[in-house]
Amino acid sequence: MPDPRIQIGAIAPPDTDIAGITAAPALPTPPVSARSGRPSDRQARSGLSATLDRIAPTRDERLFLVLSIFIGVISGTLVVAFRIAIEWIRLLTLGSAPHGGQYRLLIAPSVAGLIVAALVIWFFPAARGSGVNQTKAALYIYDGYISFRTVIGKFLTSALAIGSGHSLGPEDPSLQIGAGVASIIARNLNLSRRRLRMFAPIGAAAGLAAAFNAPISAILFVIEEVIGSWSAAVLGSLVLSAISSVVVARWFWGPEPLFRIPSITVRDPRELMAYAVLGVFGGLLAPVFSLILGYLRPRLRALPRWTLFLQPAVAGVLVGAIGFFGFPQVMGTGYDVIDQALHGQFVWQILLALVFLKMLATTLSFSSGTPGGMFAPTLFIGAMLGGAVGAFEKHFFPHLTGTVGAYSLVGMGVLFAGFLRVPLTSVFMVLEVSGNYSIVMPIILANTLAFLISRSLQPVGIFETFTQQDGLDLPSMEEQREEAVLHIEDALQPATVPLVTGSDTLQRVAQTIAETHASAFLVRLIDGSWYAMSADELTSASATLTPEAPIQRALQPDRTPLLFPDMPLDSALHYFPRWPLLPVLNRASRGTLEGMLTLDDVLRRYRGGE
Amino acid sequence: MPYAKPQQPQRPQSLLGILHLAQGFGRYAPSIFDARRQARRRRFIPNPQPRRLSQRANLRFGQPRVNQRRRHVMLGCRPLSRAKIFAVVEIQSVSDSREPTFLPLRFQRREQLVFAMKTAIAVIGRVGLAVQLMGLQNQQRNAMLLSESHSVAVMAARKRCRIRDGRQHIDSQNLMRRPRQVGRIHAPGIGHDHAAQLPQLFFQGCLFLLQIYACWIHVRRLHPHPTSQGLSLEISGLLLRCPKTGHESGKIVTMATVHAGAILTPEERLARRRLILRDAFSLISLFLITAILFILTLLLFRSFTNHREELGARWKTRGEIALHAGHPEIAIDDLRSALAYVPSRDTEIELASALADAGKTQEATVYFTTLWESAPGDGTINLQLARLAAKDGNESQALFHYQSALDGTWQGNGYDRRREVRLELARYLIARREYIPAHTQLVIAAGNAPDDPAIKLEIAGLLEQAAAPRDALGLYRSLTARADPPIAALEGAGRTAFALGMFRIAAESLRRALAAPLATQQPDNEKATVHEMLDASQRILALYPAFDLPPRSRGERVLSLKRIARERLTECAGSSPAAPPRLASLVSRWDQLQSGLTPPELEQQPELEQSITQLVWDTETLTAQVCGAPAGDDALLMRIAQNPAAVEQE
Repeated sequence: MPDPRIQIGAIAPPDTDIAGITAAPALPTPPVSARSGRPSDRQARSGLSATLDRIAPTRDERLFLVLSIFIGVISGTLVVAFRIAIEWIRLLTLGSAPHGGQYRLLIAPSVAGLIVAALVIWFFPAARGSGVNQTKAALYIYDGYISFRTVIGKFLTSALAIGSGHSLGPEDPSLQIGAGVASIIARNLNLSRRRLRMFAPIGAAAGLAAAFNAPISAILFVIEEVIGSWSAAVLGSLVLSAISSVVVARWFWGPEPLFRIPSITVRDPRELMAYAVLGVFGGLLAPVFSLILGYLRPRLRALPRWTLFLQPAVAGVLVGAIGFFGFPQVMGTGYDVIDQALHGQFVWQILLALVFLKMLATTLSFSSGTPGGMFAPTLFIGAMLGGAVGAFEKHFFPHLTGTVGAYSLVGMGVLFAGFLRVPLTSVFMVLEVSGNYSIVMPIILANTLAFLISRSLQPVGIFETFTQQDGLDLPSMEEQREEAVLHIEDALQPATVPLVTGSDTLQRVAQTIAETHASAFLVRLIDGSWYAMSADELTSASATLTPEAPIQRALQPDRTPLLFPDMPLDSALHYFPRWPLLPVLNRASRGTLEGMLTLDDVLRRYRGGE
Repeated sequence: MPYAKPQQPQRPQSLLGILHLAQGFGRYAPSIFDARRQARRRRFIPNPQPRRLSQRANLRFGQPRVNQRRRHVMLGCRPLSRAKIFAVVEIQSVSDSREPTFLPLRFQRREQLVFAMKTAIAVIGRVGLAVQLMGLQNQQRNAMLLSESHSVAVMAARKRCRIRDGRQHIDSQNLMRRPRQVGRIHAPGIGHDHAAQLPQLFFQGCLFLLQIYACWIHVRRLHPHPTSQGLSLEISGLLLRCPKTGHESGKIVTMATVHAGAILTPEERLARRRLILRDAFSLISLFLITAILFILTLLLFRSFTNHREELGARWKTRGEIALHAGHPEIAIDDLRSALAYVPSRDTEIELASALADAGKTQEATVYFTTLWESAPGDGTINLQLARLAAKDGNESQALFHYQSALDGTWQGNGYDRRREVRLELARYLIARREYIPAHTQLVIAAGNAPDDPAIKLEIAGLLEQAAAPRDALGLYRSLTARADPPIAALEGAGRTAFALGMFRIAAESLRRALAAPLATQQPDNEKATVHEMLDASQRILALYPAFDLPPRSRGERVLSLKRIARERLTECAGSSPAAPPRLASLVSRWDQLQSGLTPPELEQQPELEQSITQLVWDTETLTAQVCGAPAGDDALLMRIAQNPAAVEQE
C-alpha cells in the first residue's frame, strides 16, 4: 500500500486541501474529482449540457475555434510575463553577472526555497511539480479542470524558484499555465464536458509554444505526450492556439529563435557516425538521469511533513553551493550557457563537468518539490553532453567538419528524446530553434538511437515514473503507441454465406437460402455496393412482393458500409446493430470481396482467439 | 412617396465598395409581389436535401425555378397574421403528405445561420455605405424612416400567429394583397454638410439596431405548431430599397429566417436569449481582459527591456575599458554579460577579440567563424580570422582572410583600414620570408598611400625588409626631396643607397641626416651606424676612379686600386695551400699586366684603365670567395665591385 504521505503535495485535486489519497489518521476526506466529481455536480452539469444542446446545439462548435485564439493570445501574454518575472527576480536576487564566490548564490535560492515551500504547502498545493503530469491529470481525472488559484500559484512559485537560481525550467510551468487559462475560459463559458477536456491541451500547446517560441514542437509535444492522439477539430484548435501564442510571444521577443545557432552544414555522410555516437551516449545517460530522479524524489517525499517546508531551501543551498564554488552556470534556466556551448566557448572538460553538475542540481531542485520544469535542464544537459562528445571526437578526428556547436545542438535533441521520450517533438524542436534543416539527418539518427537505447534500458519514462510516485494512474502515451491495434483483417473470415446479385429473383434467392440453411446472405448490386440481408428480412419482403421480383426491390435504401481489411477492428462494431454481417472489400477493386465479418468473429478476436 | 429620388451618390471606394457588393441580394420589386402570389397558390413537394451554405438566397420569385429551388419542409407554426411587417416576400407551403418529412434540424439551423449571416452582412453593408454618404437632407429623411419603421415594428409585435382549422394556412392575406415595403433605408446622397456626419451616423446606427430588433420580434412571435407537416415560414425580411451606385432599382433583401426547426418552449427561448447575451458578454469580457493583460505585459516588458539595455550598456563599457587596458580576461566576462542582455554584433566582435587577446584562440576562432558565416564580407571579422589563422600557423587560411579583409566592407574610412590590413599582410609575408608577394602588397600600398611622411616611411621600411631596397630608396628619396625631410627618411635613403652601392647618394643622404636638427636626438648606436656608413661611402668615393675626375687623378686612383688589389691577391694566395689553384687565372692576368705603370701612361691608355679596374674588381670578388670577407679598403673595393656602375648614380 503506498504511503499516504507520499501523496502529500502530489498532483492535488483542484481547490482541495492537500491530503493523501489513501485514508490515514487525521487526514481530510479523500479528494474527489474536482468540480465534476460530486454526483450533484455531475447531474447539474449534465442537465446544463442537455439544455445547451437543445437551445444552442452548435454553440460549442462555434466557440471552440474562437476561444482557441483567445487562449493562445492570453497564454502567450502570460508566458511572456512569466519569463519577464523570472528575469527580474534573477536580476534582483543573483545580480546581473553572477559568478563564483558570491554569497548571494547561496542565500537567494535558499530563501526563495523557503518562501516557495510555504506558498505551495499553504496556498497553492496544485502548483507543485513540473506541470506536465498535472495537466494530464487535469485532462484525464478532473475533466480538464485547473483552478485559477493553481495558475496564479504556478506563476508565482515557479518564477520565484527559477529566478532565484533553482535548476529548473520555465517551459513546463508555461504549459500548465496555458492549460489553466484554457480551463478557466472554458469553464466560464459553460462548455460541455467533452469540450472542457479538450481545452486543457489546447492551452497547454499555447503555453509551451510561447515558452519555446516553437509552435510545431509544442503541438507535437501535446499530441505525443498529453493527449496521445488527435482529430481534425482538435488539431485545428491546437494549431490556432499555438500560432496565436507564438505571434504574441514574437511580438515581444522578436522573431529570433531561443538560441543563437551558428550555421551548421553536414558535408560528409560519414560524419553521421559521429552523431550516432552522441546518440548512444545520450541514450545511456538518459536512464541514469531518470534513475537518479526516480530514486531521490520519493525518498524526500517520504520524510516527515515538516521537512517539506525545508526541502526546497536545502536544495537551494546545495545548488547555490555548486554555483558558489565555480559553476554558477548550473543555476537557473541556463539559456545563456547553452548559447555559449553552441558557440563552442567551453572546453570539453568543463562541458562534461557541467553535465553532471546540472544533473545533480536539477535532481535536487526537482525532488525537493520546488515547482519548475524539466525541459530547460534537459536541453542544458544535452547541449553540454553534445559539446563534450563533439569536442572529444574532434580531438581524435580533426577532419570532422562539424563544429562543436553542431554537436551541442544535436545533443539537445538527443537528451530530449531519450529522457522525455518524445522523439518526434525532439526532432522538430531542434529544427525550430536552429532554423537549420541541414542538421535534420544527424538529429533524426541521434535522437532515434537515444530513444531506443533509453527505452530498452528503462521502459518506464520519466513522466510515468512521476505519475506512479504520485499515486495516479494516467495513461501513458508511450505505452499507448506501443499497443497493438487490431484490424479487420485480424477477425476476417472467408465469405461462406450465399452471394446473390440484385437482379436475382426472390424465388431463386429463397431457394438458395433454403438449400444452404444460411441465416444471412450478401447481395451484390450493380453499382458495386453490397447489402447484407437476413433470412427473416427476406421472408418479410417476400410477403409483399412477387416471387419474380428482383431482390433489389426488397432492399432498404441503405447499404452496407465500406470496410477494408486494414481498418481498425473497432470501427466495425457500431454497424452490427443494423447488419447481420459485414462484407470486407478490397481497396484496389471495391467490388471484390475479401471476406466477411460477424459480431461473433470480432468478439472472439478481442477475447484473444484467432 | 415621401422619399425623393436621391442624388447620384458617389461610388464607394475600396472597403465600402466591397460592402456595397455584399449587399447584392436585391431583386426587382414587381416580381416579388407576383412571386408571392404564385407561391401562395403553389404546393410543393418537400425536398429534404439541405441547401448548400454557399447558395445565395435567390429571390426572383417570378421564376418557377426559384420556387423549385426553395423547397422547404414546413413545420406547423402559427403564421404571422395581418402582419404588416417589413415585407414578407416569400411564403411557401407544402401539400399534405402522408409521411411528413422533416428536414434535419441542423439543416434548418444552417439555413437560419446563412440567412442571419446574410442579413448581418447586408445590413452592415448598408449602414457602412450610408455612413460614407452624408447629407443633411438625408438626416430628415431617415428620421421619417426611423419613425415609420418603429411603428411597423410595434404593429408586428402585436400580431399573433394563428392556425385555422388545423390547416396549414397562413393568414397573411392582408399582407399578400397589400404588400408593403417599409423600412427602407435610403442611402443618402452626397452631401456637403459635413457637420451632419455625427447625427447621420447616429440615425443609421439606430436604424440598424431597429432592423435587428424587428427581426428578433418576429422570431419570438412565431410559434411552430407541434404537429407535423409543418409550415415553415420564411420571412424574407427587410426589403431595403436604396440606390445602388446610382441605380434606383437596386434592392437589398436581407432575410431573416425564422425557423422553427427547434421547437423551443418560451422558457427555452428565453434561456437561449440569455445564453446569447451571456456569451456575447463573456467574449467581450475576454477581449477586455486580453487587452488589459496585454497592456500590463507590454508595460512590464518595456520596463524590463530598458533595464536590460542599461545593464548591457554598462557591461559593455566595462568590457571595452578592460580590453583597452590590456585585461582581456576581465573583458571577456564583462562582454559576455553584456551579450546576455543586449546581443549585438559589435559586442560579439569585441568579445571575440578579447578571447583572441586572452590567448583563447580556439574559442575566438569559433566565435569569429560564426560571425563570418553570417557576414562573410565583413572586413573586421576577416581580419580577426586572418590573425587567428596566422597565430595558428594556417597560412592558406590567413591569406584567404587577409585578402577577404582587403576586399571586404569596413566601417569608417575604408581606405585607411584596407591600407593597414595590407601593411599587416605584408609584415606577415615578410615574417614568412615571402618577399615577392610582400613586395607586391607594399607596392600597391605605396601607390595608394596618401602624402603622409609617416605612412611612406612605414612602407619604405617594409620594402627594405621585403628585400626591395630600390623601391624603398625611391620612397625615401621622395621624402628627402622635401624641404624638411624627416631624419628617418634621410637615414633610410642613405642606408638603402649604401646597400645598393649608390654611394654618392648614400654619402649625401647620410651627411644630411647627420646634419639634421634632430640628429642629436638619435640614439648613439644609430648615429654610430650612420657615421660608419658615411665614412665608408666617403672612402669609397675617394677610392673610386670616377669618370668625372681629371684623367690624371683617375689614373692615380686606378693605380691605387691596382696596388690594393695586388696586395690582397698576394695575401690571399699565400694564406692557404688551396688558394693558388683557384687564383691561378687571376694570377696569370696579373702577370700579364704591365708593371710599373704611371698615371700618364694610363691616361694614354683608357682601355688599360678599364681592364685594370675590372681586374681589381675581379680580384676582390674572387679573393673574397677564396679567402673570406675582406677588410679595410679591400672590403670597400668589394662593395664597389658588386655594382661599380651604381657608385656614382644620382
